[in-house]
Amino acid sequence: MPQRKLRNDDVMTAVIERNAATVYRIAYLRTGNTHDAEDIMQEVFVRFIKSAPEFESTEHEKAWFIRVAVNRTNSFFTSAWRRRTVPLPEEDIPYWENNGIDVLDAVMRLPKDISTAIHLFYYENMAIKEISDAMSKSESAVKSLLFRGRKLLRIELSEEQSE
Amino acid sequence: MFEKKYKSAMNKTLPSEEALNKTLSAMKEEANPRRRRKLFIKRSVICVAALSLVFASVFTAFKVNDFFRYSGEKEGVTGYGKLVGLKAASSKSEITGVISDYYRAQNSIADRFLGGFANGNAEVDYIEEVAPDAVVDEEQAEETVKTDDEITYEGSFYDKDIPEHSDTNNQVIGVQEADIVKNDGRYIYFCSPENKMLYITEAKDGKMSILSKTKLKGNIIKEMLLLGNKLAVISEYTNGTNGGNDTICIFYDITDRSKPELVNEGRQSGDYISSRAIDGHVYIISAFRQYRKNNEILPEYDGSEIEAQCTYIPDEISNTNFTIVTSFDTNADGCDNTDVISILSMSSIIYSAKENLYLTATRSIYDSENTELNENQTVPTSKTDIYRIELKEGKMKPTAFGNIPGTLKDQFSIDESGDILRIASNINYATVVKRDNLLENVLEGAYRFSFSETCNKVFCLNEDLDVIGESEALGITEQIKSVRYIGDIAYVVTFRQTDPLYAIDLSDPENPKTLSELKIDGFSTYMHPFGNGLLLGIGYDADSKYGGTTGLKLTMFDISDPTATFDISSCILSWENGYSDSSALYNHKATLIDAKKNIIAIPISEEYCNTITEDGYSTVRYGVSTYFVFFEFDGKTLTEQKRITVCENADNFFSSLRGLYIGDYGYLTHNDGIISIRLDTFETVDEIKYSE
Repeated sequence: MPQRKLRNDDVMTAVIERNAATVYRIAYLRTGNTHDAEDIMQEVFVRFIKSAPEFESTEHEKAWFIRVAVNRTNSFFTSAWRRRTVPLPEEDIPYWENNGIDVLDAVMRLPKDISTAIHLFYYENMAIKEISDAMSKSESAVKSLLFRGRKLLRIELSEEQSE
Repeated sequence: MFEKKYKSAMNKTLPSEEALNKTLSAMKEEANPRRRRKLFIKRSVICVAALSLVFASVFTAFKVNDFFRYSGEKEGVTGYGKLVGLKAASSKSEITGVISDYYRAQNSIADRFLGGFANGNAEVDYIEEVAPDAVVDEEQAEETVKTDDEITYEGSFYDKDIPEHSDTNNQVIGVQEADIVKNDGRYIYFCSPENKMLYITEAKDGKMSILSKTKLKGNIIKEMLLLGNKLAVISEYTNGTNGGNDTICIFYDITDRSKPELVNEGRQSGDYISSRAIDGHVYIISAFRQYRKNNEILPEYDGSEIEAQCTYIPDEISNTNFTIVTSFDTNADGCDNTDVISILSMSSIIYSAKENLYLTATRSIYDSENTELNENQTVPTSKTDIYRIELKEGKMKPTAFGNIPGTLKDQFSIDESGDILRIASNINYATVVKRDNLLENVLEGAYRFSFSETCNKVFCLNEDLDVIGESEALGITEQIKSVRYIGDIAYVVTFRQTDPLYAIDLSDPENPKTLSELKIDGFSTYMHPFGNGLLLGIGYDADSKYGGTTGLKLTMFDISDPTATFDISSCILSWENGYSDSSALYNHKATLIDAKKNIIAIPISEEYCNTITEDGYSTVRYGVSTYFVFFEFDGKTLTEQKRITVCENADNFFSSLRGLYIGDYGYLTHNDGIISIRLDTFETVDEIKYSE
């Protein structure tokens, strides 16, 4: 994708349309709140303009966005900015309005690497190899994240269903 | 069932319209509409550039690029090159000139071919793969480093009756590194990053009492240095004008421990990187980033711009960020500022010996705009610049500048021994591939790089920081995980699937020799000399077949014969029952290791999930428990001796846990208080909470 195209507003809008939800979901899953997730989403897209990566296909483009979103949330957790920010209480998530949120909630309670692996596997339907690239982890590490995630979810969800 | 429910819930998770609009405008701002107006000019420039490129490629032989030359070129050996200089600026306009030249070069794509009369298209290459270690290291550098040596101060207070006690795990004897906890044998000092408070606690035979609680200034409390009756607390403060942080060092006189008195405050631009204290002189290092492309903003000390004469400019720059070093004399009552210097280069890993401070900065191949290359040439993708600054009673003077290929793992990668500086680096090589498409050629540069292989080397540099010798390539396809220099031997751990521990003899700096290579499963991220002929490695256990980590592992190596090192015993905390983590893996200051007293202890956090039944409802809770774990080494085996619970059922990993000892008592300090134990029986003696 030649760089000059990136400056075209239509291209930018199309890139956002294609990838914003994907990036936002990962950021939301990993930060656990909407404000931080939106900030990270913005950062990822600005980075896209800055680095102007070349993509062979839309899958390739999506993989780039996923990888950067994971990386950005990682550096977000360690960044100075994060450390000086007091997280606001989460009042704006309407848990009660959303059916099926119990499953989402269970996933979000998992450690963030596990939840990310679960999300990429089940929601984005990515292969282990792709997840390992996106998360910069070995394939066996991804497998063990998935294994642990499934185990934790099985316990948690079976408990909730029996309630 | 899960999948369907999860998908339906996730489908409803969408960013708000407002956030999307904000993102779009941020993208537009970044793309900079100003550039569009220049598109017409640029097109014509591109045509000329393309033509000249064709001519250039026909008539001009490719030059050897400066980027791939390293200090101390040996004739006939490619990859080593001229020494690049470092000089003090004469005026402010010289500094701003260098910065604007840099941006001009960056902005102009045609520059690559025509020498820069076009001005457009600023592209900052962001390559995710490049030097991820450097980023991590920066974080680590902030937090890490301690050693066992005792620093004694003269003065009545220190003369008598001070029980034997632990110190921060400093890398170099006589060079104190900052940490959140300090201990002088009588008092325990803790600057809490979470509560932004300084707590001074008196500790005697396991009994504790809080003497003072002082509110600290700053948005982020970093760490502190203890210098007799003075305490230097380092914090960061947001600077409203340039959008970055300022680093503040606040000096307290603590002659009266119940009433710390503020005596001086030094404020310098930039994020805190690291600090050292040598003979009562405190050195604070910060990195100032140009957040905006505004070359008028120069780093400041105490509200005024750092003078041009104190600003040093390397011949080649790869970004417009500054490293600022300030020094303070705590031997004087007022802890006055002694010196300030800044260098137009961004440092991440800092190493300090007693007389020299070394700043290192990593540059990637992508930062080097004026690169000319041969096709199919194999080149390292990054290099590390090293600046040596001579320290004399707080006065600082850059004395040498050099560089090596590759990136460093952490401060333990560097060691000074006499006139020789030894550095271990991880080098990624890439092959230069010419772009075929002419348009791409012009827009993106004539070459792209295809990563080929990775190896590690230990370099020896002379007093001019020229490379005089290097080891053979170690751990091809692997990455350095930890390095420790003991005398003339460098111990290097690399890892991909198994952990080779290399011992390299550096006694002849021109001809480093690999003495031995020991392979065991897993790898160490930190190595600590444990008395005579022993080396303790703290790291991960790994599956030898796939290389995935499977648990935490401590290994005791016998290095009494460096030509035949072997592992005596390992202690593995496997992840079968839950993932565990230790801050000792990232921060050597979190360890408590003392060979004389035979203490090996590290904090460990363990994830768990269990079922809680309340009022007839049962829920599964995920949480983290934090322990301080003592290990025992009896000469033959290394075993877990005692686990002391510091915190249970927490939501997060605990990072501010430190262990220390005074006499026969151990003290475990954490964010909320201190637990004291007897070191022989491990029974709890006393416990205090800061909130009470």
